[in-house]
Amino acid sequence: MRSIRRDLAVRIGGVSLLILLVGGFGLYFSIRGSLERQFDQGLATKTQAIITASEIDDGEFEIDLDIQAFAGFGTGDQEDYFEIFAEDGSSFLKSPSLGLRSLAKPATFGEEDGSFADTILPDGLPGRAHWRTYVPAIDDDEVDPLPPPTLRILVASDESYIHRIVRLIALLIALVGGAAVVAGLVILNGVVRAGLKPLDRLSADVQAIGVTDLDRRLDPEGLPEELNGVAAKLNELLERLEASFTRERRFTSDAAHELRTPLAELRVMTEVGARWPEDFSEKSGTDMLEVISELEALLDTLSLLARAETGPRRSLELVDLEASLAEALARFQSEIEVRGIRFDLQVEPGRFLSDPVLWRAILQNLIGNAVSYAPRDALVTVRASPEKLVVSNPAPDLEPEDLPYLFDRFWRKSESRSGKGHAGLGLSVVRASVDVLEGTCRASLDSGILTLEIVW
Amino acid sequence: MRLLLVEDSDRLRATVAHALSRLGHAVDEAVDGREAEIAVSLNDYDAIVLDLMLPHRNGIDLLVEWRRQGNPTPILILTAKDAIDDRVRGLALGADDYLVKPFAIEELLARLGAIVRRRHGQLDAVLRVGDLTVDLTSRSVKRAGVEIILTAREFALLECLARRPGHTLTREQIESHLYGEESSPLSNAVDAAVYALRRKLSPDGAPPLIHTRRGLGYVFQEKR
Repeated sequence: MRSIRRDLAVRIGGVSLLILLVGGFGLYFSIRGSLERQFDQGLATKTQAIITASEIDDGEFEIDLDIQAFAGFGTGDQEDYFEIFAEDGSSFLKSPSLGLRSLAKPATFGEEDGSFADTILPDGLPGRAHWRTYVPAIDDDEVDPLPPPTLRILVASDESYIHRIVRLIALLIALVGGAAVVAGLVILNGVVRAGLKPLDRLSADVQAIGVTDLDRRLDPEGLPEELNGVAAKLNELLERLEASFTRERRFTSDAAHELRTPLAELRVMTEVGARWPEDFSEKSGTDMLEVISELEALLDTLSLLARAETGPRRSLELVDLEASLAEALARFQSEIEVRGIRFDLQVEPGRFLSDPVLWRAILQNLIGNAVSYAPRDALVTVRASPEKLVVSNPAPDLEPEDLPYLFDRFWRKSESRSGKGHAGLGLSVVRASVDVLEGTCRASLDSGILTLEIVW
Repeated sequence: MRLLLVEDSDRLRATVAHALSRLGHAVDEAVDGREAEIAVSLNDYDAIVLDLMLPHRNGIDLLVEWRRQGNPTPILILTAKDAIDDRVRGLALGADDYLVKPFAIEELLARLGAIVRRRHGQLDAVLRVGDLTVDLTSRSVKRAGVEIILTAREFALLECLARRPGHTLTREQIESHLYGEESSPLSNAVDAAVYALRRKLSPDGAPPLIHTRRGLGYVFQEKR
């Protein structure tokens, strides 16, 4: 698996090593070049000194011995040599330091005047050679002198100390560079580790959050600004995840809870019937069937809800607004009569495109809720058009703070089952169906009148 | 036993009450928190079966209120709430037992028997007075090892008397344990029931166990 720390360390380390290598080599070559240039300059100066010190006096070629010794060409432990050649290439004069020995001519000797070349000195040491062609000066006092000869001087010096210095510098650069690499790696590791600490903390915090503790949040305190946004976003996601888990858990537990009471009724009724068959009457059978119908209705609602919530699959057909509303009202006719509910209907006649199953669910739940929860003899107002459906009814028990929960699954104003046949799923079915039909639903409460408005 | 059944589901309440009455218990029914409050303030129950989600006043409120008032009546919570938290809360607030719907009526009875027994400091489900044994679980009665067959009402009367051996119980007390809020049609219903039970418990001239305290009531004990 890739690791940011490893990647960073390898990249930064690699780039640093490259910079160090290029820098080291650059330093080495520039020092070496500069030393060699200085050496060559020295060699040229010495050559110039010999040339200047050469003169023809009374037809005799001579070089001031003091200058020779000063320039380092004398006898003893002198390490500079020169040899002057005549035009025909024969050796004309040698420095005292050469004695009887000769200077080795570099391969390019004579080709380009004033050049430098590496050479091997007579004592076998590495040396540097420089040559020039010149005409020696004639003493001013000479009268009618002979034309002076053209000479070629080859000067060579021991360069081995330059090699030693250069080697020393190379060693120093290598040692310092190596130490820098090692120290750099250690420091880099520490810096990267310290730099990634907030990321490590965030990662540990995120990993520590399990399905059972979704209420935990990431602490943005102390996080750098690069991670602050990530933590905030993660917290937001966690919040949504927690809400969705809570909703799912509550839904499952609510659904189980809704099934428990009818199942208990059915079980006790069956037990009593089996134990005292003589007590089992027609009413007992009707009661049992009633429980079963309620269970069926609950299951139908749950599957409708599941259908609406698992994916927006709808099959649109032309729906007659008036007819569908009349059908919904007919379904609750007996309850409407028993409770004395009155209706004020204003329907814009016409047909519109909708999913008939979902539309029926919306209408029946809205009308059913109004009929069951409005006080006796209340007036229910319905305004329906192909774009909008508004149902209003008095709801004296409802408080404004109940509104946010109104569309929640299994929400009921009172926890008890006194509202028989209502599991608290009606408005959640309405919302889920409206969502599939890409509409919006809104609830408002104004002076005790609840208005549910659906627009699409 | 005289029981109060507090449950807002009409069908469940009626069926459970029917089953309990069939087994010889006197059952009063309450449909909501208010009715339950009134019933408990007026009567003395052997046990209360309490639903938690009730209109007007929920079961937990009632439980807390009764316990605060020092009412020791054993209470069994009967509810659809099955979360451990709910159960623990119910028990911690003073309920004696907890039964989650759906339930078997036999289990409800066994649990009610157990909490009533615990309240009377009894360890097992068999009451013993002299050579008479009353098994409250199997609802069987034996005298000197010989089984005696009783009706549900007779068994309820025997249970009421045998739970308090040596205590004098008034006719009214016995009547309320046998019939609950139903008024007994005959004023001498208790006397008649006692007479019938006394005869069944003393076959072949065995010493009587139910003694009359004239003007006071009845006492259940081995010797007069």
